[in-house]
Amino acid sequence: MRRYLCLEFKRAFCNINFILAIAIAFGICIWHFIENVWKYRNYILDGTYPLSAFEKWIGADMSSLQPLLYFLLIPILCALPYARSFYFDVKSGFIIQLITRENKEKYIAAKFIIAFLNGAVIAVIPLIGDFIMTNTVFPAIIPQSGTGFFSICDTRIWAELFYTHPYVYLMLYGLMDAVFFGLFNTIAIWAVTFINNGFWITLMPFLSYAFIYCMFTFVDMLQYAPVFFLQPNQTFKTAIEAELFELLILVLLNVFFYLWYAKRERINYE
Amino acid sequence: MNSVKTLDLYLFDIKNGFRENKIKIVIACVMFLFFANVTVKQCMLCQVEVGFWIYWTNILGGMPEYIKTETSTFELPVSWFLFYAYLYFLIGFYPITDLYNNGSHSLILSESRNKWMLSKFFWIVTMILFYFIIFTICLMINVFFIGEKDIALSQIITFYGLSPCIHSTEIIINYLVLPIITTIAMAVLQFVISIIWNAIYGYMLSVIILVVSVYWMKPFLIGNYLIVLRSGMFATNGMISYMGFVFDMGIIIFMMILGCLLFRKKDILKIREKI
Repeated sequence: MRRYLCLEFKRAFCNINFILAIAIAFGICIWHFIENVWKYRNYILDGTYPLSAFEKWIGADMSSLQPLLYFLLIPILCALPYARSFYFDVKSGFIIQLITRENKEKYIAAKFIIAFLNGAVIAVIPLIGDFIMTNTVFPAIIPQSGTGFFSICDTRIWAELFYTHPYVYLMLYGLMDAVFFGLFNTIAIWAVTFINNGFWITLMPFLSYAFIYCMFTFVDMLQYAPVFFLQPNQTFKTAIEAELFELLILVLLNVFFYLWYAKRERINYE
Repeated sequence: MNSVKTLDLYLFDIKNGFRENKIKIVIACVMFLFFANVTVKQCMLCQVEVGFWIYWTNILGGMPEYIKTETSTFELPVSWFLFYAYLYFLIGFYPITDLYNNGSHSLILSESRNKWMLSKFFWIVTMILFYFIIFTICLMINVFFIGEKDIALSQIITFYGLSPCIHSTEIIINYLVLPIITTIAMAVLQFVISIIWNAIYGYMLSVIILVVSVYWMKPFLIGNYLIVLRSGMFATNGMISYMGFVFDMGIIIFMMILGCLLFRKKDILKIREKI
């Protein structure tokens, strides 16, 4: 298993598409920083109640373009470096070379783990970078609900935590984003069962994500759309049950397809 | 060896392209039926007397200009977004996949890369027209069975309280002609990027243009010409149709010339390795 993990780790993290994906995600964060943070840098000298890094970073902003663009595009960016690799392995026959050297279950498990980690890292690292950048301009003042500057009200999940331990809140949200985007990225692994086109496979995580977003928004069930509930600003009232339900579905699908691939004698995309 | 004409290549693309995309077209039909059904039912619940073009506006109208305030929330008009994002997914990958599968044969037979590019361009135009037609049919089915069976263009003027001087030609231009030409312009941009660089980046650019256009109402952001509710007909400072045509035609001509020039130097065997 360790050999597979090392090999797949290198394939996922040491390639030009990984750097490009991180660069594009960071590009969106920098764009947001220049447009919404940097120009208010002298605000603190006005003598009024200072703006906080917790309300100005990309994850807390709900009125600008960049947060929505970031949370909409991130599944494509997560899928860029590694999502197609399983399809290539199957199509080119490389999988036969790999599974004859150790065992298939371990290879499949390594594929799922690395796809998950790849998605999680690409989704979260730029967010951390953006929060650090915002902290260079604004002080990290503990949010005060009375100021009305913060979007999180008492009906939102972990609202109390946000106003008492904001770093813990951000860490929890970062973890949730990492888990969801990691799991969305693994969709590309099991899409190989149905789809015989490398480009479509790369876009499957995004399409599923965008489809869920558009359909739930269209029927006014915004709390079920990951585009909204994965944003730390909690633009709309979110339901923890909805999040857990979607998480459970994604986990079950991954377990099912892991077993499916592991038990099948031949992995074939046709 | 007799060279294959552009028309032959185009006919081959039509046949092959439809065969490769048949499942995606079926999904599009289901999506349109869903959108149309929900829209018609919502209008009926509100007990407003509307017709075909109002349903159309509800689905593909987009949204008026977004004005950012401290408390505003930026959202996309989702039915509009999904309609176009899915269209670019539908047409974005056939040319490059074909280049990998059959392209080298058709390129050798046609003896010209320009012919291959032209046939793909015509295929894109055909697919876009077909996509709009199936949307119209799906909406028509819902209107015929459960909605108000009014298809007169005048309903737009009455319902939205527009100026009575607006001619039906202007409505047709803003509702159909301009969005179709703009869609073609964006599709050509995506196509050239796909061929020259990478199909995923081409698709990502289309999605970015759509999202950024919703946020900023600027004439150079061509996604705005796809938003009917931002046309000069609806908004006083709305988008000017003829400027849209100029931008669209400029993009189509420029990108096709650029695409042909760059495609001549493209190492096709390298693309094969990438797919």
